[in-house]
Amino acid sequence: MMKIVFQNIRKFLVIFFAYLTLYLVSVRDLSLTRSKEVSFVLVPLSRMFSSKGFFQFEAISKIVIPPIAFLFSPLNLLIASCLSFLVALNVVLVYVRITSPQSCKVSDSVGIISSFPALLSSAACCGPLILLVLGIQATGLILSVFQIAIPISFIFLIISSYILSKRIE
Amino acid sequence: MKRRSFLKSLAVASCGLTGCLHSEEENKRDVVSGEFMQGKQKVLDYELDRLAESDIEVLRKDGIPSIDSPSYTDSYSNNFSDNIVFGVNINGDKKAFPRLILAQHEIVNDTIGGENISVTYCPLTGTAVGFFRGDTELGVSGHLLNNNLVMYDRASESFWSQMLGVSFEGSNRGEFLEEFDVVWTTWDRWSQKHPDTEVLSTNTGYARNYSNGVYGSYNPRSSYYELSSDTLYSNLNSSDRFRKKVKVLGSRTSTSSYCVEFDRLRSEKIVSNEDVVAVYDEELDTGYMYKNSKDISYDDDLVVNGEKQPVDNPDLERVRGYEAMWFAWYAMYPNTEVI
Repeated sequence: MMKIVFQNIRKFLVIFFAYLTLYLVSVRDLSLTRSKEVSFVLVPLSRMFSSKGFFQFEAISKIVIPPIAFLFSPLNLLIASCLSFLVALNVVLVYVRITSPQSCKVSDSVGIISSFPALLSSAACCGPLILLVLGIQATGLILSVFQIAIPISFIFLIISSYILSKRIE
Repeated sequence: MKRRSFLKSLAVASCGLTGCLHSEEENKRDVVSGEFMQGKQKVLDYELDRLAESDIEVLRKDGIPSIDSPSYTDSYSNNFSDNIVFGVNINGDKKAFPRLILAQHEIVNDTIGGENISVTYCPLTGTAVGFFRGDTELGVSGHLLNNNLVMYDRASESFWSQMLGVSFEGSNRGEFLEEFDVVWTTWDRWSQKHPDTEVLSTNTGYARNYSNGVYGSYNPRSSYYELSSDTLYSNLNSSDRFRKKVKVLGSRTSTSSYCVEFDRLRSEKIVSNEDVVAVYDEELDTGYMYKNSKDISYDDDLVVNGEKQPVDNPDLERVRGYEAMWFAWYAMYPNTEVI
């Protein structure tokens, strides 16, 4: 599996960083600021474990390089990086599968479909707002779905990458 | 051995991920205890049981952290995308609380003018309400009732509705909190009226970006704050009389509730029925309600029994309330009288 990644390293890195950025923007760890000055703020390290929501945690520092503000939350970054790795891995494996001479259309869909929960997970923070855009009011059931979006994403992505890599071998 | 050490490390890491490790801040809160300050009874249009059944859990307790050790500054940050502040004046001690900071914390516990108070703001209902908290502190429960903030007090863990000012669950069930005025205005207006005011600093103890709103903006209105946009969660009651997010000024007595569309109050300056009179404060772009007990009119200022009096402190009995989105006011007070 890692050999396939290294052979498609450029594609992997583009998708990895694109998804990472999308995730950090959606949880507001990466955002625009009106501040005109470069600044750095550090808060007590114990904040790192304070939960803000479903698998979201407080930042321990704020770095402002106008117009970007980056909130450094070690745990958010860890979750985002792991998800981004799995998403990029899945996309690369699907790409290799599709472009291989013996591609099987049925199994290709496994990787693509498994990426959907990952995309949902990046919206977990702002789920109710996403629903507002779609014109759906949040209910207890829908909120519960958003709560488990991240762990479900991990499971689906790990399973799909395993299946895809086996098929490629 | 290595495997056991690894598993142990994994368990500790997992425990951290699930937030079961307490920060120093959380341990400090555990020792807060004491009585809240009981307030005057206000009308309720629902049974407490109905309220308790209707609240929904959206986040974990203190998932939105209150500011419990606020710091203040003389200078207002230019980094906010709007300049809306909530002004407080208690015993001559004036403080301004930028909306965009409170949008991410919802509650500030402090001592102002010698009084233990909580300044609370719910971004989903557009309500800024002040409470005298006594010896306890108020926190964000993570629950919502009619899309409105449900607070909890750290002494008894009872649940309190911000808009109703009543506890509907816990050992303080049925009790009311005493309120004080929180003025929804702008920094320019507040600082012009109160040049000696201080403003809540962005050094809140949290690494947050306070430049922009979480749910959209008020100026211009966008996203959640667009006047006809829907609410995030369901409400106990609804009315099409005004668009959902239209601002109203509401107030309540022990028997009744009243509201007036704020744009109408702004243009007419004084709106009344036989019970209450709402007056507009041009200096702060806010409004107040009083009992309609005397000869009251408006002539560039409030006139009571032929005598000009300050609009924010006339010789009239105050009917305390706050500004709110129409959908929220009606959801909480479906029997409200629109004046």
